[in-house]
Amino acid sequence: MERYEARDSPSSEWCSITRARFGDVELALLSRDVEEVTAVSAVTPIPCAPPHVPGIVALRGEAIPVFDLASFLGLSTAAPAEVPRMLIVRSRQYRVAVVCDQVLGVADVARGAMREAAVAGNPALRRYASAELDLGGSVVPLLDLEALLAAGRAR
Amino acid sequence: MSALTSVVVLSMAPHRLVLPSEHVDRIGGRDEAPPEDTTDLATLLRIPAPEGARRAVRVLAGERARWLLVGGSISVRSVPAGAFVGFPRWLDGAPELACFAGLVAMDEGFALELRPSCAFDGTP
Repeated sequence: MERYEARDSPSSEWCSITRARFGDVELALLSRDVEEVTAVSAVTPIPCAPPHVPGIVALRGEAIPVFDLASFLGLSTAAPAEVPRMLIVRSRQYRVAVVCDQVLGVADVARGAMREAAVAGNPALRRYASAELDLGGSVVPLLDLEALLAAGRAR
Repeated sequence: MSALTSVVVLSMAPHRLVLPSEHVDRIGGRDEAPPEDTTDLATLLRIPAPEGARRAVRVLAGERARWLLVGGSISVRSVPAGAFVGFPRWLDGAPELACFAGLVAMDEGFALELRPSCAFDGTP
């Protein structure tokens, strides 16, 4: 597993993150919020639902709503994956399948390598990023899952 | 053994909708449905109208009856009472879903249960 320390202040506090690609953008989630990764199975479409809620999937008999994060955030999907994946995530209130193009892996990140989110150029991402992670040359927004799922509810 | 409930399944690919049979008293051709007493389901749900022959089901809601014009295929089947489930919490209460009472598990997936009252004015 990859580990990323803070450049100037080595930290003994680490947290695990899951990295995934959504369109052309790499984003991270706290691994504690990701229950599993699965292939996209048959989606039951919902008439009248907004575009970022393409439907519902059955996961071991349970109905899980599907959240198209790239659509919700207006991310470019110039190179959609041939085999998209779903991250089954759980917040305090909701259990949702988040569609991504690729799961890039799990990494440990030192708390010191997290910094305030700037996410230049994308106001939507800035709104739902709780921090930015310095992952050895690339800066990856860490999603605020609670805020994201609260805002993404169909209503 | 779980009790079974009869449902009318309206398959309008990719959508699959279900009405409990107790709310359907007739399945017929579109000619049987007077235009003034008919709601086009595709228009109601803002989904593409299926190609090919259209049929109609007469929906009962309380004392009222109204025809729903549908496309695709219509079938009647039995499902266990436990197959009726609510929407996941993330979707529960969304006004966009007001025409649906919930989900019905079938064929390793789900169908959407239509509220009969939506056939009348598009609202529950």
